[in-house]
Amino acid sequence: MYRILTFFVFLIAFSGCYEEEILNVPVKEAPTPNEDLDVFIEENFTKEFNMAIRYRFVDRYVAPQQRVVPPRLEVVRPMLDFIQDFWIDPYLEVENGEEFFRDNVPPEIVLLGGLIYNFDGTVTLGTADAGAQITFTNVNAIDITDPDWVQLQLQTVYHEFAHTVHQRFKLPNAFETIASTGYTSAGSWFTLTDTDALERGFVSPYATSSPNEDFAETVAFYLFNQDFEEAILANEPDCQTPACVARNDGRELIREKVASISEHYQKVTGIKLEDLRAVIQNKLQ
Amino acid sequence: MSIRYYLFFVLTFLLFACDEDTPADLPPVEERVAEAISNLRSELTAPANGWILEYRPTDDSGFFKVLLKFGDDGKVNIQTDALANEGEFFDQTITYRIDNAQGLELILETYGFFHYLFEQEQATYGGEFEFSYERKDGENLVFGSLSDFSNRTVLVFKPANTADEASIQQSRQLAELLQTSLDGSGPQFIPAVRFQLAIPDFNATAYFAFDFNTRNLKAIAVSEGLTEEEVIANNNTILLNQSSGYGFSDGNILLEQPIAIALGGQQVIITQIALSSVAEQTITYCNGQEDNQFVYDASVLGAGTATASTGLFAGSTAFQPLPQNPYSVNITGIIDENGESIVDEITALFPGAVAFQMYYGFDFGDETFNALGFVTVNESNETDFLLRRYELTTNGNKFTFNFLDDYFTTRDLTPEEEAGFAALTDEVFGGSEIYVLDYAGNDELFNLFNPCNRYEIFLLN
Repeated sequence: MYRILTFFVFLIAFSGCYEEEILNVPVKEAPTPNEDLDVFIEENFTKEFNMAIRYRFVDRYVAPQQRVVPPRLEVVRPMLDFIQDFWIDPYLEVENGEEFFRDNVPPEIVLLGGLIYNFDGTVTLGTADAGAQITFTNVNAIDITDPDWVQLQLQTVYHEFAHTVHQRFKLPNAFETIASTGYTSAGSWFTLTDTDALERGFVSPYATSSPNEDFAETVAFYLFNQDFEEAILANEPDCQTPACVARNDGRELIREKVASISEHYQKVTGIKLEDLRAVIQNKLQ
Repeated sequence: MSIRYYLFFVLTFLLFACDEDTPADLPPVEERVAEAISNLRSELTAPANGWILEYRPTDDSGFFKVLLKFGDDGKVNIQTDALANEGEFFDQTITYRIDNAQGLELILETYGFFHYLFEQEQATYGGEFEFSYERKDGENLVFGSLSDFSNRTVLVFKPANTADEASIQQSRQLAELLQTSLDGSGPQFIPAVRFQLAIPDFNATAYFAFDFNTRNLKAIAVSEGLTEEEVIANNNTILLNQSSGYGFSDGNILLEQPIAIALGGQQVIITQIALSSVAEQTITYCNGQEDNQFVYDASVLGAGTATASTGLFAGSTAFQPLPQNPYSVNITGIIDENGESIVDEITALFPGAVAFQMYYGFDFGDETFNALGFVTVNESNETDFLLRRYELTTNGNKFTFNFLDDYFTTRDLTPEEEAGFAALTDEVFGGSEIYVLDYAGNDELFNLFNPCNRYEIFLLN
């Protein structure tokens, strides 16, 4: 009896004093409006597309073991113009693209100033979170005349946005069977070279990591790469060596995948992927 | 004990436990946190002249002077004496935020001086831009690093006075005076300033390497004599290899760790160096070629006047014979005059080349082995060593290589490979003495610099 009584008494004693208290409640300051920039974001992204642009650093944007810096204030507006020109506008310019974009745009875009350094010594170039967030890295190095910087940004965003298609509408029928033997075991894709991947029927080593990544990588490469037709789709002529034959066999699989993806996009989104590529390539000239 | 006594004691405990420290009208936690944030904001914005901070990102680094002026509008003006990015961080305004998570936190939200230091060395250097508020200590505010997992940096914000802004400007001018010397002749890939500090009263020259980014310097060696010719003729040099952080104050370079120099029965302890005027001169490292050199009027506290000259020569180097291991680098570590790796040229000659090695005083049984060349790995994962022997003459950190037509290889070289190898070594090392350069803040990294063709080889111990 005493033990039971004691238990209840102490239960009351330790829960009764601060009935409504919760320890360590995170309270974030409301950001101070940054005049013109925040108004521009509010008008052109938040109200227009229901898309929040995060340029002020919050540590939840990266994992606890990752280290990265925020962007310079003065590069945010040029970066937003770049995003508008090379990601948003192409969708607005193709048939059915605007409706698809507005319906599927991720609600949060994060801008980070540098690359993401991981504690294991690796570097993360870009990330996305299940269609809810797309993160642009290395924004401080903005230089739209630098092909490497442009490639990093656009392949990231085209790749991540392509994920929304299979997340919402599934992969094309039997897509994963086209190069089914080429997928790599978990965490081993980075052991492949570009040529290894091509011989397996993939546009990049990362594409071999899963059918979903294969889909997104193929879309991104198709939209961005200027010489996609010549370098990836078209067979090498006068193929005499086993290595060359293997590369052309891989190209055949990629052609099959591109056709499958194109048909799928047209069917489920109404967007003709060839038109989207043409608009993007025109802008990249 | 009856249940009545028991209940009496328990209820007495409950009555006192609940009421003693808890006013009945205690506001909700959100209100109290908001008030704490507001109070810290008020503290930060209160000083008329802002806050002055001597910022040491790590225990080993020197210090930066930082003046912070927080505004009610969520912006903070940061003035520093940091040279980086062509003065970008001399005077900058960015946004800040005060959060409450584990406690009050000060977050510098957009890129600035603190973020620049955070990014150094692939974000492993030890800088920070998120701070936890620790306490008020007298008039000072004490913050701690939120990103250090050990040896947490403590930052003490002190109320600035009217002279602090001028003091930072003075430090900035000294930093810019030092920066001038970066335009001198020397390696381009990792530029660093090297000074020859000639002290007439001691008839000695001390050799320093500076790292502007991390505010570290290394005292490489001290030699008897005031000129390169005297130093070589006297042949009396002591390798120091001592490091110190440094910062600027009142027009002086202040060393965090005194550098003790003892030579010929005399001792100088260097804690403070003043630089005044600078003149640009020409110097010849390579026959038929003029390079530039910066010469400062200087004084050393306790040692009188001195001359600080930029230059490649040093009386000695920590790059010493290694009996047990070669010095080595990935083949991308050989750089041409344009700052580009010559990896394509190397792999065209030796497909599968992965590393460059330099055996220097290597203990090879009966032989002291001096040779350099490449390590290759073929498709069968077999490793080969392809090395060319050399003889070496040194004068301080000036190395003269005499390559021999004598190869040490673990596979036979074809005549074409042998000719190509000879041509490549002649190309990289030809035409000049090679200067072996030490780096401040890194005792394992060296740069072999050829001033005639501007080729550089990075080597690691």
